[in-house]
Amino acid sequence: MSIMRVRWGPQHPVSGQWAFWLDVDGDIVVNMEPDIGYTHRGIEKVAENRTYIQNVPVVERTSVFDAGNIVFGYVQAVEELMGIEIPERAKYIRTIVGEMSRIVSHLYGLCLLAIAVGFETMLMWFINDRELFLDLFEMLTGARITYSFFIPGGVLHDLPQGFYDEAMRRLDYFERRLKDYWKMFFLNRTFITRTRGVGVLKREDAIRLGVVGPNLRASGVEADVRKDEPYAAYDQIDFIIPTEKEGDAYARGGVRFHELEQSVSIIRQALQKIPDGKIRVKVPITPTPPKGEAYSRVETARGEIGYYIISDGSNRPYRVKISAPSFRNLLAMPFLSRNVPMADIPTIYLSLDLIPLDVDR
Amino acid sequence: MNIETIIESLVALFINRPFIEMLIKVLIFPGLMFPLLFVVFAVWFERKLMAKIHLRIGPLHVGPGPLGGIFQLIADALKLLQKEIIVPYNAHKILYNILPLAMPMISLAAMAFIPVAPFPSVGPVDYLVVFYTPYSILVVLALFAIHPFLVIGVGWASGSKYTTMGALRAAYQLLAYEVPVMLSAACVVMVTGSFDLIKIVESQANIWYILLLPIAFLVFFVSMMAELGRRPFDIPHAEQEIVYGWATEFTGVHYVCVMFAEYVNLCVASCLVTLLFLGGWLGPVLPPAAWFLIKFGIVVVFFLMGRGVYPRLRIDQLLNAGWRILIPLALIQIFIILVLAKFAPWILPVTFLGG
Amino acid sequence: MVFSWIVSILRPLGMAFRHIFKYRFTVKYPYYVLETSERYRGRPVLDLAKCVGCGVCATICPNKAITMVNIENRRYPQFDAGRCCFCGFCAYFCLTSALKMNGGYELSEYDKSNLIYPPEKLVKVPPPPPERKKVVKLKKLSLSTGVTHG
Repeated sequence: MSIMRVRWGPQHPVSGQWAFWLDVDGDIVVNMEPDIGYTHRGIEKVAENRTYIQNVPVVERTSVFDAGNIVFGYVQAVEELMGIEIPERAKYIRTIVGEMSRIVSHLYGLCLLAIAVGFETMLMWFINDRELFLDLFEMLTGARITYSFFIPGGVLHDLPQGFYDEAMRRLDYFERRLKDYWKMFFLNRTFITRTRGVGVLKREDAIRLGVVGPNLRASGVEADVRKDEPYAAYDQIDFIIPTEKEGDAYARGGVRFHELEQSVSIIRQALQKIPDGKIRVKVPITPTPPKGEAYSRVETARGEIGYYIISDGSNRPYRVKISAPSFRNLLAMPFLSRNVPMADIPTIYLSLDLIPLDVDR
Repeated sequence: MNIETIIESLVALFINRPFIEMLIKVLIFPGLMFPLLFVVFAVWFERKLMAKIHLRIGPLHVGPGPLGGIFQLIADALKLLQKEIIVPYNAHKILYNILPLAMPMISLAAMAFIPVAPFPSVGPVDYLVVFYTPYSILVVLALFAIHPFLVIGVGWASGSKYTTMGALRAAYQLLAYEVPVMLSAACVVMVTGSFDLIKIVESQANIWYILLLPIAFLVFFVSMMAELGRRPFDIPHAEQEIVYGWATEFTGVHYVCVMFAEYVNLCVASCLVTLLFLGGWLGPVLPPAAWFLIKFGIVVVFFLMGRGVYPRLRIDQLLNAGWRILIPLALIQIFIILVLAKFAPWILPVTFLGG
Repeated sequence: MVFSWIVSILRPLGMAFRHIFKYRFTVKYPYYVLETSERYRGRPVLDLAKCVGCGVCATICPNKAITMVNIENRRYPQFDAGRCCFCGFCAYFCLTSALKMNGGYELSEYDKSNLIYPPEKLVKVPPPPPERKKVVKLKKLSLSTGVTHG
């Protein structure tokens, strides 16, 4: 049969903010080419014209859903350039915010996986429970989604009164809800039929393609920046890294789900072990680090992000290079989309958790 | 001729018992008002039920207090009726305009053969039915089976390649699930010994068929869900390259007719399930029409809830389930009936295979 | 194995049925509003007596939403609501704490030139809209009856 070229453009119910070309033979997809660039805002160029503290809201918009962890790498690189050391309490607060941000982002990623198979109920339940944590963010930082809470030198505000009790109440409720979700979503026979064996990424292929994050861990590779090069307070908290062996869409969803449980335990330990002290080292309003370059890696919810900052002695960076996780995972998508039925394309794409904002920056 | 004789003859013509009965049957209870009110109520109920499962509110404003949102369908329908009717360039104009109007007509015609309750009347039988025939289950299932052909016709007549592909997929699904529907209905007909829906209900006086033939009930229920196009068998309407499958190009009046036909099909299917398996109008204390409505309501709730509970199946998994699982189950049920007839004939009703 | 198959099909039905009897999570917005915390960042509000016209807010703003204008030999900030990203740096770094971010989030206007707030308008906090009935917050979190606002 002849091959038809179909475009799932940016105005498609399931495609997100990018487009792809599919070569379809009957019902089987033969080839897939992504067409990115619809949300390119030039963040790396904009960051060259702002000072180091003004860059924090700019860099945060790289990926809005995971706003805590994205800024983490930037402030660590700037602190390495300036050669300052932040107090312990600031490290613990950064860990707490990073883990809450990971929970919020994984709930969003699982909701996208539910949309791909046509399951509206789980979409609503996950978004409902995201509200619990957005209220905690509002109590702590003042905003719900893009909080701009980290600056080079520490964090902006301290934990308010009543944060500990409120956080414990919500974490207890959330942990019990997770059991309901496991039974309703992952033990649902139709969902298992739909995602088992779909988009299998073997271990050697995952390492060769350079996939990062939960997608790598679902193929059996134990690689996590929080354990390999610990930063902030992660070396004083114990947690495990969930991995699975099969590498299909069900395993990727399962890894994200188990990471939710681990994040809840990390937040509990951090809230109990947090020391007293200052939260911020005094830094001038327009800091001027000496000449040099710095690189720092952080584990966001979607994978590992790398920041490479070159400074030439003035109060604006010379170059900020962001190596985003979704851009690295993008290469797995055409690889997995050969000879699959067309109904599996949304499942593969949304189980890899690619966010076009991350891809284009 | 003066006025009094004219009035007397008119009165004798219209205000007499058979005509008023016919009016009630055709216009009100299993006639026209029942499916219409059911459609308005079912759309509201489905959206509110989904909203309750999702822990949110659902339609709220258009309607009185606790029944908020019940006139939302009427508001939407009125808005849609005044929209422009777009006929695509490549479409086959006659079929495109006529087929969507035929869909609710066929579904309403299937509704005309369904008896709902006993009622002392002067017609051929003492039951509330618009048109009595001793082969009523055959007629209803045959009218129900015209629906796949209308879907294919509409998809082809719309003229775009996406709707044609969508219509072909819908055709695969709908035609594959016709066979289990017929087989499980055949189980019930075998046990009863007649094609008449009234006699099927009457022979359940001792034991309902859901307890006697559970496998047939399961097969019938699942196949009806696939025939109606409800989740988890949602392929005709969703999950295509384009948003709405075979009915994508419809706006205005055609869209209202397609939606309406879908919900009248739901009404017919629920009536069939109640009559065949749940004992129709039989029950102890309340009037029979009330029992019918209660059982009908419970079946409708189960049909509607499938939308919130399961994700959508892929087309090849669906066809697998239809051909490889449901048809053997229906054949097993027929085998069980024959075994029971030979070795334990006291279980089956008296009229098995004609007595 | 068949038993686990059947259970995995029927259990979601039971769980969905249990959810029908819980309270709803959503809040009917313009009539009931969720309470915001004290640190909530709306638009900035100026205190004219404390402002000294230093210009730190204009220097630190990432989007250049604040510019300094001259009024009677003194400088005051002028705010452009279309450019603000609500990061809160202007209020955090203000030397005399003259700017606070409690201007709310209901900022729509019909005309784009009304989005530029001269210092006289920056001083006022707008009143809540008239159809609002009350302010609610999260009261109870329970697995059996759901989340309640009140």
